[in-house]
Amino acid sequence: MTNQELLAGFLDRTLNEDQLLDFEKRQLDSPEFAQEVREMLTVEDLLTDSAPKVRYPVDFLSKVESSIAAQIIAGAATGGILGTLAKMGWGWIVGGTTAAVVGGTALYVAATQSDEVAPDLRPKTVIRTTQPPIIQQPAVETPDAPVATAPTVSVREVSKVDVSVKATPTNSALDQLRTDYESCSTTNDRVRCAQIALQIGRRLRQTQRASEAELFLTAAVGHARSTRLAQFEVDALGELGLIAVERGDVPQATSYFQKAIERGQSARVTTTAWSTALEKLNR
Amino acid sequence: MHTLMTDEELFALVRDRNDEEAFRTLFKRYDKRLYAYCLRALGSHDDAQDMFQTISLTVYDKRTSFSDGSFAAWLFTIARNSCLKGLRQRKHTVEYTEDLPPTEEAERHSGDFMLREAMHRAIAELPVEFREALEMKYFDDLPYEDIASTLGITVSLAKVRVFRAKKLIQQSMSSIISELQ
Repeated sequence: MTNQELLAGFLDRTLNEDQLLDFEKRQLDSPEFAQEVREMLTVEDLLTDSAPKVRYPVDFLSKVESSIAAQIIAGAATGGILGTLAKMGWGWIVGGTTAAVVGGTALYVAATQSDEVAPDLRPKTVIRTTQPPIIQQPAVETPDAPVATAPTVSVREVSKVDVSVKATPTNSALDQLRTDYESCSTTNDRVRCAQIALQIGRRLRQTQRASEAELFLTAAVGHARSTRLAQFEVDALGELGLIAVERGDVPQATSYFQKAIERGQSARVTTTAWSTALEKLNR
Repeated sequence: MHTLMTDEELFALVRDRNDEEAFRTLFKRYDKRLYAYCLRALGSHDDAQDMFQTISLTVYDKRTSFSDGSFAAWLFTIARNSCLKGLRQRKHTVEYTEDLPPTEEAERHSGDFMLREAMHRAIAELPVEFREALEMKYFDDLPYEDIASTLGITVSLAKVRVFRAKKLIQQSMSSIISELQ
């Protein structure tokens, strides 16, 4: 590999151990290359940390969300008839609109703010607010929120109940992992979340709790993707493949193993276990 | 349950079952990134809000056309095409939006400020195809696969563009970095 290829791989965190050693050695051999690496790391840090700061119009975003949600509710309530109407004009019912179904008839009620907001009448005032942390959302990068002065929009906080698993006295290690997972989710530490979700998923699979394992492994895939942790993503996909094998779902297992291998090859990380698993499956 | 689902699983629920909760979960994953993308592309909050609204509705209206692949790539493809269309209709003036006042911390570290200023200038001077890939990677937080899909290029080329963009920035900032180190 050339110096530039190694540098690119290093910045993308895709070098394997041998390549990392080679990369280190070349820096020792060449002060110019070492300086170039330092400068590229500075650029990398700057790019990572200093995306243009945006003061988000939280109120506006919330209104758009509500208006489309109203369309969805209408579609769900009427099987699409009112959904069509919504597209034709009701779509801009904004601000806390809810739909109620009474005796099979959909009624639009509780338009707590303006019924319709033309684009040029949208509020121009930018509202500063702080959003509560969004818990356990894989693949989410929440940009820096402005300083809180007057929160006016409540952001739905996701219930932790969604992923909690009933603890038993015999799996204290698992309990600790779950506690750690909740902690990293709260702080949005996705690197740690990826690692812990993978560990939990693996342990649950090994104890024949496939459904619960799938939830955590899927979360691990999401966390790993969003943080470019290819090895965790590969292993989580492989573990999902093993669950599919245990369930007797060969096509699904094959798909997971293939995804793991492809991801591993593209990121140049080890996929031996999953290649072997796929070979066994095909025999 | 929704929070552990992938984007694609959530969108399938929206498309096939009119699942409001799935929509809200998915919306919150992308609303700020999408808005920031519109703002970067169009340069003003007014235009960004119009565009965000348009894109959000387009995504919902075209939901049945999404079948497989990456939701993020599909979303940003729609966003990119919409923004390009919007830009064609008017003269494009991009302003980097540093809306937040500098913090005391930032003021104390004038070196950091100089670096960031230099970096924004360097980004602005990048060839457009490099800048677009770089911004998708670092500002929109898209993986290479989604960048490639959005831009209609291979994953390898997406990686090359991002790396070359970083090299160009490094070269243009080399003296200031050395000075401050």
